[in-house]
Amino acid sequence: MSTRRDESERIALLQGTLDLLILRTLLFGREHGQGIARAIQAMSGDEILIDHGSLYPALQRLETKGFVSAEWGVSGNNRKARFYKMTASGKKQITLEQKQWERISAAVGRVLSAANPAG
Amino acid sequence: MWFRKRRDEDFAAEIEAHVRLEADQLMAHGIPASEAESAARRAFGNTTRAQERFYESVRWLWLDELVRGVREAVRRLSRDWQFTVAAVLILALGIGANTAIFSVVNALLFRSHPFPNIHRLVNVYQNVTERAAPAPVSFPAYRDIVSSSNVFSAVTAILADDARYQASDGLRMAFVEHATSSYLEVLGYRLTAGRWFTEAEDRTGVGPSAVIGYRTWERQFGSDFAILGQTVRLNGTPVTVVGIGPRDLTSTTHPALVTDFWLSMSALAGVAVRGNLAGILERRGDRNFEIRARLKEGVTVAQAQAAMDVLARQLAKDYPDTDPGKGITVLPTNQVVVQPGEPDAMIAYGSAVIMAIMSLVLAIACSNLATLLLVRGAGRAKEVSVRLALGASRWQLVRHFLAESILLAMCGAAAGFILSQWAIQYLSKLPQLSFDIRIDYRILGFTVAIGLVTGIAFGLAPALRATKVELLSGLRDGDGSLSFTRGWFTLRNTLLTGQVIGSFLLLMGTGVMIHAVMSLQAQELGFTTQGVALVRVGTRYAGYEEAAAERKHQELLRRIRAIPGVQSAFATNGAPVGSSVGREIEIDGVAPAVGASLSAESAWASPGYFETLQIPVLFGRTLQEYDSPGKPQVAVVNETMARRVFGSPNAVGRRFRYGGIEQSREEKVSVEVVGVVRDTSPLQVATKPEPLFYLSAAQSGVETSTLVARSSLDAAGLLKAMQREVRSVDPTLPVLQARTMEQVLEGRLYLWKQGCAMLGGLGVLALVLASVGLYAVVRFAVSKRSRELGIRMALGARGRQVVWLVMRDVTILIGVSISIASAASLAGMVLIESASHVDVPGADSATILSVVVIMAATAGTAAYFPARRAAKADPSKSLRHE
Repeated sequence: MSTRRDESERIALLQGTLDLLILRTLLFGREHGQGIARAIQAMSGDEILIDHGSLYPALQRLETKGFVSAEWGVSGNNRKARFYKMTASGKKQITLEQKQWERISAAVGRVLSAANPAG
Repeated sequence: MWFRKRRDEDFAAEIEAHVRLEADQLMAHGIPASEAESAARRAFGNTTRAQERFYESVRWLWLDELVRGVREAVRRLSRDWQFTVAAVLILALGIGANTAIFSVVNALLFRSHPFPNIHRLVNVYQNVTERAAPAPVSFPAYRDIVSSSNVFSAVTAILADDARYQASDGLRMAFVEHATSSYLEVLGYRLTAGRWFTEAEDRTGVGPSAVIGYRTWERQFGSDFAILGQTVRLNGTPVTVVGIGPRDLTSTTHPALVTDFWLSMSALAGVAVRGNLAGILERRGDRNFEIRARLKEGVTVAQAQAAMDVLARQLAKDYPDTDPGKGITVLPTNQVVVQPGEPDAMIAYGSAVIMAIMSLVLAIACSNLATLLLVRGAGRAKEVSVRLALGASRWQLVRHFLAESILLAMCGAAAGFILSQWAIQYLSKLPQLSFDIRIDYRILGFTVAIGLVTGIAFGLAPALRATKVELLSGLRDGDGSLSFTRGWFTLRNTLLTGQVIGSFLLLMGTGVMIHAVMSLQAQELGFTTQGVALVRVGTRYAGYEEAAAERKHQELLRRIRAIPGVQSAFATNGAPVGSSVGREIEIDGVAPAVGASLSAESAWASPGYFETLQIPVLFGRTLQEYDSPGKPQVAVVNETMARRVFGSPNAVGRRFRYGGIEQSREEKVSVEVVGVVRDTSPLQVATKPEPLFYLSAAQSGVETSTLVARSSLDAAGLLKAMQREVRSVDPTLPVLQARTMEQVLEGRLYLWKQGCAMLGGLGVLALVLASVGLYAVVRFAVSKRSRELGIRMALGARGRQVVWLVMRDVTILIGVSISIASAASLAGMVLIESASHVDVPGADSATILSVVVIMAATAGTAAYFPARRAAKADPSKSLRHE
């Protein structure tokens, strides 16, 4: 039981990024979990491999926060699946998070490319 | 669980769907169906872990763990059911006693009046005494308030009283309120049936009528509308029932009282038993009425007060003789419990004292439970170590322990609540007046709150203590982690000391009470009780006219005097001894000093009084038959009055004037002292004889329905003979009281004995609890040291030495506790004595000593038994045990 804390710390690191990617995928319309995973993989040029074990809890979290809504439906090849759709507050959230992400990555980029201040 | 938003199955289905979709896609890329599925599953990873995460994400995890903790606690507690039963019982007693008392206090203090629109209702008082304390109002002043003011939309006057009425099962006590015709309008109620009083009934000389209280109508008259128009005999006077009271109004005087009858003012003359009330509606000096008024629309309390100030000045100018000009007070009705000032303060003070005692009991019960939990927790050191070693956090373990103690406390609270309801049912049957002690949200809240506080406050410390285990030694088998040698100021020692001190204080209170009762019993009475008996008959309630009643009393007296063995007898009013009325007196020819007034107690006596009770006459004569109403008024005084008021032992021939209840204050009656008698005991605790004078019952015009006789034979036989005589004079005459003098004296101890029983019960309860705590602690210490003791005994230690070894620390602990407690109680007694004006029964050294001995003996015994068991144990067994 005592190991849980460590794991939750790791999740916390990934959390923001994954949420942003999910929301971004849903901008194009409703999609089910597997589709979201595929889409992220494809869009990232297969650089990012989504850990499915984190994907569904993340979806659940977004649903609880009200950024996405979900309902059961039928997929293109006639399979039952749970489809996620972005809500109005989710749209607001993604603009916010995207800006934040850009600021962070720009900042990180500046740090990594900066010359040694002492030298 | 209600807080779950999405079911686990739904989530599992989603994961399953994912795997299907993945497999479909793989197959579309040409992978055979048999491999696609397992590949898809591999790609997903650990589905169980995902589900677990989902499970954790949608729940309030701590609540979930709490539920689990409670479930575990239930299992643990039911396994150790002896401990559980004991703990729940301890708590139930503590919480139950508190809840019961709080219910009464709640009814007395906190329940608000139910009147609609109460913020527009005010009480109006005429002020009295130097401090201008608000007090009841005279009826003429009430009329002035009604006619002079334009601040009230309606005003009513109320006079509370009690009366006996003829019910189907004999005479019953009733609480009555005389009220004016405006009453319902002021309070804002509608009758259930019938009519209220008319304005014509607001004066004497009109037939009396009554409105029966809804509850009384329900309980005593079976909710029968046929009661309307019938007559009920109240104090013997036939009163016509004209209405049935509002369903949701119990009483004006106090929300916990139940008014049996509202009576018209015209009923005052016939029904009221207090002195001579015939002229009460006209006299300005007699202030007996409670005033309730409803403010006019838009008028504030301050404006009403200003208007009343104007009226007060006018009254002081118009009636300088009867109005001391102290003013009139207007108070919002919801700020007053019964009467502002002293009465309300007394109720609050008394409630606070009782609640304090009760909290002490609860604190003892709680600290006792904490001790038990502590010992239990120490016994689980190994289990705790294992859990910690397996990775449980300390906070989780604390929660674990807390769940247990909260569960115990809640069970205790539930059981305590049931106990308290029994107690209340018993209590509300006790007094003859009906009280209305209902359960409301405050009581339930109170019980739950003290249960929770108990569980957390007294479970937390043991929980923290129990989880603070050093892993290695704990796993090895916690040795002596609870031994006394770890320093004196431990949690457990503090708890034990607290319990011993608490029970000591309660026992001390009981000791003081017992001491008071014994000193009462040992008092020199100053009169005889041997062969004396009395009967009180209800001629009034049987409907006799005043003159006819007096004739009956005299006839009865003659017959009693003729009973064989009777040496002397007399007829008087009320209790023959121990009840007196304080009156202001003035000595003729001596002007009273400004601001100071003389006062003395007064009692009624008749010819034969001093002879029957064998009170020695020191000077002059006793009351005689010829001291009749037409003759000059005479009085007999006791020696204290002769000395203190007249300044000489022989006061015969001196004169004084008295005023009081049946005379209005403006006219005092002049009397001549014809005799001085020896002091009698005032039958109170720790009071010396007061100045007392005896008035002739015949000259005072009071009814003489109490017949007292002394026989040379035994009192019990005399009592039977007297009751026979009553039946032969009139078989329908109710006997209100029939007792020997011994029984009468016993009766005056009733309240004290009740107090003794209650405090004593609590004291014994506390003592038992403290003993249980001591027993548990010593027993635990012994079990922890069994190996050491075994070795010592194997090496030749004697049993006595082992007992002492175990007992030494406990003995010191008990000794310290008792010393602190005795010092505290002595200091407390000195404090109370210096702070209060009332006589506080003190304790003598014998009382203190016996409490100390009882305490030490009980506590010592509780510790001794486990110690002795250890000494008797077979060393070879205890050595092999580990």
